[in-house]
Amino acid sequence: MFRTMRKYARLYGIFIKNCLIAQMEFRGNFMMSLLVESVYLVAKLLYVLVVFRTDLHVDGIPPEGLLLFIGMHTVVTGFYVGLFFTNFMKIPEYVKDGSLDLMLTKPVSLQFMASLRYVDLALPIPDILVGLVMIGIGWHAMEIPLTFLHIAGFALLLLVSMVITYCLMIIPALLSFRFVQTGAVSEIAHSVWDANNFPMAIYPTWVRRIGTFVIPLFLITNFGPLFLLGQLSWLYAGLALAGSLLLFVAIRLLWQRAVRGYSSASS
Amino acid sequence: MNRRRLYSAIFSMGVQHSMEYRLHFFLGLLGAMFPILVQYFIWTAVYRHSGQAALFSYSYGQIILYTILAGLVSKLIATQFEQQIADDIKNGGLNKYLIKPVSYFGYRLVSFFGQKAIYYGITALLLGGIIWFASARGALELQAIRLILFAITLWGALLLNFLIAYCICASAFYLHEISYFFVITSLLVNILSGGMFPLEIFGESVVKALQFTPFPYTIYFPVNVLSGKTEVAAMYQGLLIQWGWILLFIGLSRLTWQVSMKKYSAVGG
Amino acid sequence: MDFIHVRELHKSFVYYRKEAGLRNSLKNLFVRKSLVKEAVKSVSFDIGPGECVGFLGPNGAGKTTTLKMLSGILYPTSGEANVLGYVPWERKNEFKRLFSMVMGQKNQLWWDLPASESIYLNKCIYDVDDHLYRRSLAELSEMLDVQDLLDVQVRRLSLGERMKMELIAALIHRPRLLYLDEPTIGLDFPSQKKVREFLKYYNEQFGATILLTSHYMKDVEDLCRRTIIINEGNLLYDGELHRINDRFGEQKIIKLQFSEPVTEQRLAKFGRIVRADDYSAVLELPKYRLKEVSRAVLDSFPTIDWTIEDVPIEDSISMLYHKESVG
Repeated sequence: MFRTMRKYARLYGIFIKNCLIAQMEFRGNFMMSLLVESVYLVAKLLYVLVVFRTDLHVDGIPPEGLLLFIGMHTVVTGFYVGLFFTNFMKIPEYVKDGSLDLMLTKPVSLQFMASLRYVDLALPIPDILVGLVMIGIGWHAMEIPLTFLHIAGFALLLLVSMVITYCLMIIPALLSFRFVQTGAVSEIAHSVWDANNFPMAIYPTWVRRIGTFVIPLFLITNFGPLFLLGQLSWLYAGLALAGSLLLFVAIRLLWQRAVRGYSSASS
Repeated sequence: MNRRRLYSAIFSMGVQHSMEYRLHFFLGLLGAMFPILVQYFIWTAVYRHSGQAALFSYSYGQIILYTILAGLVSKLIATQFEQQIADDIKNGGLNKYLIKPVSYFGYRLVSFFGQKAIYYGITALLLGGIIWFASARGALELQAIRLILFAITLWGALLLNFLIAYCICASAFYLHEISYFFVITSLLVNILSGGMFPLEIFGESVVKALQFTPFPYTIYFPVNVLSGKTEVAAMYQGLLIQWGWILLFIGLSRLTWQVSMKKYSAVGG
Repeated sequence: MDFIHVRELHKSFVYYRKEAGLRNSLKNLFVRKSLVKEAVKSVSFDIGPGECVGFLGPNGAGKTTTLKMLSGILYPTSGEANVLGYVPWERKNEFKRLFSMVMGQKNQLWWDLPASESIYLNKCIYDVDDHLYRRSLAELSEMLDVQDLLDVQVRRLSLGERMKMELIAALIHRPRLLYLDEPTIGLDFPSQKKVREFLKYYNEQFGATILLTSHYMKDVEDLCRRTIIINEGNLLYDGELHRINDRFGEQKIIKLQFSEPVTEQRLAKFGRIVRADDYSAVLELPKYRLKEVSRAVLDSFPTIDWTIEDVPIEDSISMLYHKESVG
């Protein structure tokens, strides 16, 4: 068990190293990626502008407190575009052009190889930087104490967010095992993604229920800030962790099913 | 060769092309719904909290109407040919048009309108439904003249947005990695045109400054003509300015393409 | 026990036919017309350790599908296979470490990186220890004469050099079994030759078993003593390539040149005329008539030159395909 973990950690290290070398090859592209993500970030910051200009309070949380939520969303978006986005876009290609075949013959997990091979080091930089700054401002303004317990709890919930993000956003890619055209589905997934830009409190109850229990999208950005604001007990944090692991197991099974279908249906 | 027949053939090719991607278009509309919904909830929260009747000079009904209409109009006028034009420039596809008796500009324009024809119809139907619903709820005071002017300015917006994008495309003659560039420009143009939020959120001075650019005349202006926010006098004035920009951009696109094309032929593609 | 043991392997898959038009597209959303294609029909063979076996057959014959089943990529519809003591499609990691697969049309090297990086990644994937890794890399790159190219980005290499790098990446863990799918496709002749020589050497030197598919006869002829011919999913022939003529009752080809015109009619009674004009002719005839016919032609025609040859293998193979589709 420990040896396998070490092997995968080492492989992931090589993935990152490889991606870094390849990206440094095209420095122009690197700068361009930075720029593209920055422009997207600017579009997101328009929401911040609206919040501050209207002095919006949601559930008694002032604009500075809302920065915790918008910042969390921005940070997780950064991790998503950096660690997962490129891979999930490539999976349909692997299926279509048969690159999956060679990956299947390797003595490592196929899901690991196919869904984590590429790491983009340029895209997440603006998101993570600006997101952390926003969280910092919110943290300070809401007078949240900077204790180990707060940081640990927040970090744990950030991890939960990443697991859920992986599980939810890989679904369009999984569909590509069965359907040829899935571009539109991932486009929709991306536009749903931005529903997380605000605390879920602005949505009506039924939307909140769907987004928490059916498709646990709202867990991604809400639980971290709510925990910091003292509105989320450790019990819920634990439940979120358990839920995200359960979701991961479900996605793992779904993945295996999809690959089994691939192996028996193609020639 | 009869010019009219040639261009009607290109137009119908554009229509057929759009038919092929119709599923993509409908899913795209579905995708456009989510940001509109999110904004709807945000604005609802904003107005409920502030308790004021109007924010940024918009009433609650007006801002919701703006959000929906701006979302639809941005989808309608969106150009998707940037990458194709860039490919034509980079891979020598342009040569086909240099030796044929058809202008590349004419080909792109007519094919663009062909591709948009059906969507214009669908969008018109959707708009009809929304306008009816909004006026029934009292969020919109329906005036025939505004409807007509909206239809005209919408065509103008389509044309103006085409011209802006066409001018930007000329940069493919000079820049190496171009696909990222188009992502940036189209998003920026959309923001400056008021496609995401009404321009008023940027503050009075920014709105004033933007009036001197072509961007508000693609989304912000047509939507406000319909919603009744633009006053009667300003409506006609705006229409004139819109067509002024269109004429200017026709000239500008000719110029940029002629200059760039000279470079293209000199290098030999 | 055999190295590779295959019994009645069968693979069929369902595909959907889509008709054009909007109405049919909508209809397809609910009911799709499904058709079954039988890619491999009941194929059986055994391969011993150290053998080098070539799979020949036209496009879509089922060669690649068979190879994919033997490497565990695909599940068979029915039948059984045992490779090195494992059932391939159980995809055990222990099994995956024993073999390697190279596909001429797909690359596993990363385009923007030097080949050495991709090879190193494979070292880690296959858990090769450092010492063995360094030795293998040195040996393989020397054999293929590409030591200087290891640190060059793959996209700057020629097609032939790229294939050599693919081979190094595939062999870095010293697999006992090597599957090659069209390894020389698209290469120029010198590169093809080099790759063949290398594979032959590797087979002999390390005793590795090689299974190779190709439509280039030359690949199979040079490398493999044993050939398996497949067409439309059926195994047509299994044996030595140059013995394939035995199937057709030991035919021989006789080529003649004349000093004066000779009509086709007069030649017809000696054998099947493959080709003829006034001054030359090619006849095909059973081996036992060779002596009698040779004597007769030499005596009764103005023959100035003649040669006796085997039937070209390509011809025998196409006769094999033909016989199959008729029978």
